[in-house]
Order: sequence, then structure tokens, then C-alpha cells
Amino acid sequence: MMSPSEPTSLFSNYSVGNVFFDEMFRPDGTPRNACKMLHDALNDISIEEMRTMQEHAERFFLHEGITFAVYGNDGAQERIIPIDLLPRILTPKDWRILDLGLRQRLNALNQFLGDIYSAKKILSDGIIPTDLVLGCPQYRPEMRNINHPHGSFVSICGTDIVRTFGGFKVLEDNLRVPSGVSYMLANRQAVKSSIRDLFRRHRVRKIEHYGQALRQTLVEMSPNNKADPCIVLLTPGTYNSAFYEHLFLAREMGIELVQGEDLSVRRGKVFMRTTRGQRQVDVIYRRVDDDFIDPLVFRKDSLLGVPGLFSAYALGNVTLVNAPGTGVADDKSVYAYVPEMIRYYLSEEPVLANVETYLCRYPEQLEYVLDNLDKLVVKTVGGSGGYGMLVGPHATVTERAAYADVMRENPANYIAQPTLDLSCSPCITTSGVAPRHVDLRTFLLRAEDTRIVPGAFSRVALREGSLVVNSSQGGGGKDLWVLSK
Amino acid sequence: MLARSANGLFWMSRYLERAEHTARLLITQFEAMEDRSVEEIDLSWRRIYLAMGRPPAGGDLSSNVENEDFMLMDAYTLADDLTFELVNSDSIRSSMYFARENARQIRNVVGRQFWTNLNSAYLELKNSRIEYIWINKPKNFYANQENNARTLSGYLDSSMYRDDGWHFLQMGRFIERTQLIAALLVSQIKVFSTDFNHQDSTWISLMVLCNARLAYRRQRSLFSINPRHVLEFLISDTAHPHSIHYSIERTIEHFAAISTGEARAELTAISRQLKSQLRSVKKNWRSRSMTDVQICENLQNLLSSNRETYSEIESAYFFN
Repeated sequence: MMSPSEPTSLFSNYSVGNVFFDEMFRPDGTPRNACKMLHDALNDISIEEMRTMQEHAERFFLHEGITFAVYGNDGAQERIIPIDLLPRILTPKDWRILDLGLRQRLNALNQFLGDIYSAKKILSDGIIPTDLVLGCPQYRPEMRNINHPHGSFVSICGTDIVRTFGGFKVLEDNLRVPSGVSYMLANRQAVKSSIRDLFRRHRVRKIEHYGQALRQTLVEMSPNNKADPCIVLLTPGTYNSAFYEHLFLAREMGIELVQGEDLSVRRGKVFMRTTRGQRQVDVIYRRVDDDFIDPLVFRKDSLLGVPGLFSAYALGNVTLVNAPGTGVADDKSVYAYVPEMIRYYLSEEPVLANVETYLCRYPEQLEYVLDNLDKLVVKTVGGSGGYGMLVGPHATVTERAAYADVMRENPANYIAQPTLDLSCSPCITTSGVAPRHVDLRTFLLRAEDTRIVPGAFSRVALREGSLVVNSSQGGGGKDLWVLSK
Repeated sequence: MLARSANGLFWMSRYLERAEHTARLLITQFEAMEDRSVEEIDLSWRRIYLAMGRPPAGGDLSSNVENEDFMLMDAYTLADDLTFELVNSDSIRSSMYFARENARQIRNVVGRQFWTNLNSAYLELKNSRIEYIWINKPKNFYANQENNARTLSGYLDSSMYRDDGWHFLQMGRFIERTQLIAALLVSQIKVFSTDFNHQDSTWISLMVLCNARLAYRRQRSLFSINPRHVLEFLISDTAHPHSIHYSIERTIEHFAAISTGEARAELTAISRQLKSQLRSVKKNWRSRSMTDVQICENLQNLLSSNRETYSEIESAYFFN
């Protein structure tokens, strides 16, 4: 028993449970081998010191303008994504599995996209139901028979991974305009400057070359292998919640950050308005959703896109990264078939498992889901950001009943998954250091080569017991250290 | 360079110049409040608002100029208006807000250190209130604001690559400076006239506002201040960075750098217009026999011509 005057160590009140995998501790409460040095060093720091460092880190975020926009009744507000300074550690072995599994998955997903927009063999062979793919709102018939350099429809991928006692599992593949990489890099910067000595003592693999790797990927995506292509990043503008990231990436790569109004299409080519006239653009890293990129082809009311852009792209005069229509492969129903895609295209067993998924489009699975709503998490197939989902165990009977009624109206719009035993990691909270649920978003790049930086944006559900890690739902982030040995 | 980025640099630089100028106006005003007559302080507020071309916050300034209490209350309201009022496009906060908004969109061009300093300066200003400043040495607060704006320009001077972006930034700075100085001189003449009785202190404060006190002394070595000499110095001196002549000359240089190698007719017209402005500054200040009214007319013509030049630059480069 400690006397009231005795200073408490950082982990003195930390409780390790048996239900969730703890990233730092074994079930018996001793630190895992890879985390021992970090644990022991942190134990010498008081919670007050840690909180002071945390405040400094938050101030750093605010002054650097590492913010995202939140819109409410009182207009847009700039907010920082809360950072938790206690890093999460992955061993070289952990990372080898992820690296292998993620490359395998992205390869298969790209082959799938190339296939469904051309021969559709996977559909005719009955591996995936045709209506599931062709009826998906994210399937773009306009993409039929359009070739992409290196067969890379998805060049930039952000895959969400969770860990349970059963190992790593893929929660979802973000194949349209995945965000978060700037927060991975900002978290690293903040953590490095806050606990510099600790960082130095660990052999943490570097992630700072992401900007170069991204630029090289975009260069490789240029039409006709042009040696020095003109690359731009297309942003919806300052009001987009990820605008900071768009700026950050443009700066890291040394490319222009453009909005729709800066571009125009003439004779099937895309031009950028410069102070010295029009300059042809070869590669567009677009952070604008499919629906808005070209009002002549997609949404007519879009003010964010460029009229004629899709035609220039279809003619092969400009590359759009990622390609339009990639959303069909990260649709939550199609997700359930990714292990089958891997077997079909690569003749390999998946390295990373999926989360068990029920497709409510099938009556027997719908029935099971409705009977077990209190145990399941239900999501809309095209949803993201944690919006529109039902976390069954946390919902009231009335909420579940209301949600079931809505599901019955359009069952194909829903999938369900068991409540995941997301792993926990120590976090700084108002009541000391306590376990909070975490996942991680990895960032893969694919063109001529596939590149993956050894790191991730580890998202944290900051509320006690919460499993929702999305930043739009109050989640935060922490640095992830991939050890080199 | 992307036309929108050039526009952002141009305007960011204009707003920084404006923030620095307004901060200097307020430093001078608070200095005046230390030892000048109530009448002179009142007239100095008029000089500021007339230069900005807007009515003072809370209406006309024709209060009881003998009453010290009124003077203080007015100063509180007017300083608040010129420091924090977002609808006043000349207020320091408004200028810093727009400088930051422009910089926010071109952070990939201006560099991280500049952005972080601008953002920190703005956030600090945003969290300040006139009531705190008032009880905590307001002059120091405004000196800090002036320093912030100067330091930010210094960052750009020392770090920016000398490409088109740099030249647009400099054009923004010098076009804004030309307009601010010309407008200030017009209001100085209208409020005080060149033969005003208690003129020394007001003409000295004008020089402080234009960063010219030291330079003027070194050049003129005069024991007493001659308003005509001060005006001549601020308009036609070729070496003082806050003179109209110097500002137009730099605008011409930077414009030439941007337009080199381009044969567009509209660019030739802009160049001709700028050179004509410079000629008029040189020519008109050879004659010291002009009346105050004539000086003001000349300066106002220069202001209109300068604004027109900006519109032409805008259509030639930013919205082409």
C-alpha cells in the first residue's frame, strides 16, 4: 500500500484484463519483451510530467495548424486530432506479417479491379456474385476497358487493421481517397520531440520518407512513362476536413495543390492555369470523391471537379490516382470476398484474415443478424467514418428495434460483424494511464513497385470502453513504433 | 507558378504590410496619448480614419476635445476597432486573419517555419482582448504586433526561392505600401495642413509612421521640421524603403522579373502605367510651389492609377 505522499508511477493503477489483447502487457501484467524498455523508462515519469508533455504536443499541433475542420451550427471550427503520447510498439515479426499480408491483399484487389472493368472472369467463374459487384453503387460502368499504368487502379491504399488474441485482422480496405498519413507523420514528430531519449534508445524504423515514396509512385503512374511528369494534388478546398493533409502532402512532394477551378481540359488534355499560361498536367493525385471529379460524367452539380476530366483520363492523357471506380472493391459487402480474390488471382492463402462478416442481402444471414443484433455491429455497405452504424451491445432495445426496421427496408445495404475484441494500449487519461482500444491504419503505395512505410496511424478510442476509433467520432491517434530488431 | 498560389502570395503579403502599418499607427497614437494635447490626439485619430477611408467606430469624432475622460474612452473604443474588429478590413486582426487564410492555402509554397510563426501570431492575437491590453502597456502590445509582421516578412526574405512567387509577393508588399503611404499623406495634409501651427510633433509622428525618422535626420540634418521637406522625402526619396518613389520603383522591378519573355499586350500596358506613375512622382516634386490641395490631388491621382494597375495585374495573372 502506498502512502498518499509517495509519487505514483505511470502504470501503478493500470489494469490488464484477459478479454482484450494488451499491446504492452501480457495477461499476467508483465510487460511484453519488446515493450519492456519503454515500460521501465516511462515508469520513471510521473503522470503530471506526462500530461505536461501531452499539452506541449497539443500546442505543437495547434500552432503547426495540424487540424481538421468540424462543421456545426456555429460554422467551421479548426480542431486538432487528440494525440496520445504513449507510443504503441510492433515487433519486427509483427511487421513482417503485416507487410506480407498487405502487399498480397493490394495485389489481389488491383487484379480484381482490372478484371471487373474488363473480362469479368471472377464473376463468370462464380467466385463473387455478379449482382453484388455490378449492382454496387461504387461500380462505375464508365471505367470499362480503361487501362491503368502497371495495372494499378489503387496506388494509394489505407488499410485498417485490428489485433485480437487471434492475431491481426483486416477491418477494412480504404481504396478511394484514404486519409490519415499526415497524422502518422505529425504524431511521430511530436513524440520524437517529447520523449527524444526514449525514441533514440529504441531502434524505431523511419517513416519520414513517405513523401518521397509517394512522389516516386506518382511519377511511375505517368502516362507513357514520361520522365518528368507534371504532378498535381487536386483538393476540394479549404473547407474539406482533410485540407491540412492535402497541403502537407503537396509540400512534402513539392507539387502544386490545385482546386477544380485551376484546371481545364482542351483537346483531351488537362491544363493547369499558371502565371505564365497553361501547363499540361500528367498525373492528378485527386482527393476529390468519384462523384465530384467531372460534372459532365458524374454529378452534374459538382463545383469541385473539372468538366471533361474523365474524357482526358479515358484517352490516357492524364492519370487519375486512385482511379475512379475503386470504391467497388472496398464496399463492405465485397470486402467479405477478398480472401476468395486472393485465392483466385494469386493462388495463395490469405496472410491476413478478414473479420467475419454477414451479408444482410442474403435472407438467411439477415435473419441471423436480426436475431443477434445485441451481439453485432451493423454497418451500411457504402458508409465510412463510423457514421450510420449500430453497435448492438451498446444500443438500447428501442434503438435496435428502430435500426432493424430500417434494415428490413433495404437489407442489401447492410453488413454485420461480431463486436470485435479490439486490442488495448495504455493511454494518458484524466484519471491516469488506462487501457483504451486501438486499431491501426497502414499506408501502401503501388505503381511499378509496391512500397509500404514501416509505420501506421494508430487510432485510439479515447472514451473508456468505446470501440469507435474514427477521428470524426472523437477518436485520437498515437505513434506506432515498428522496431528494427 | 499556379495562378491561385501567386494570388495567395500577393494578398498574403499585402495583408502583412497592412497589419504592420496599422500596428504602427496605434503605437504612434499611444505615444501621443502620453504627452500631447487632447486636440492633437483627436486630430491624429482623424488622420487614421481619413487615411483608411472609413468612419470612426461609434460615429463622428467631434466630441468635447477639452475633456480628458472622453479622450480616453474614445481611445479605448477606437483602438478596439483598429485592433480586433473583423468587419474593419484594416484592423490588425482582420489583416492577420486574411494573411493567414491566404497562407493556409499556399502552405506548400511558403514553408513550414513561416506558416507556424504566422499561425502562432494569429492565434495569440485572436485570444487577446482590448481590456487586457489596456491595463498591460498597450504600446508594448502594438510593438509586438509590428514586430510579428516584420519578422514574418523577414522569414520570407531570407528563405523564399527567388522565382515568380517571390516577385508576386514583393509586388503585393510594395503596391500595398504605395497605397498606404499615399493615403496617409493625403489625410495628414487634410487634417493638419502644411502650415499648421503645432506641427512639429505631428510631422515627426508622420515620419515615425513611415519608418522615416532616422533616415530623414541623416539626410536633412535640420534642426526644425519643415512639412514640405517631410512630404518631399516621403514621396520622392529614392533610398527610403517607405517612400512612394522607392515602392513604385520596386514594383516596377518585380513586375519586370515576372513579365520577362512574355509578349502579351496587357503586360506592356501595365509596365507603361507603372513607369508613368514613377515619372509623375519625380516630376511633381520638383515643384515646391504647389498648394496643399494640388498635392492632395496629385496623390489621389496616383492612388487611383495604382489601384487600376492592381486590377490589371489581377486580370493578367490571377484570373486569366
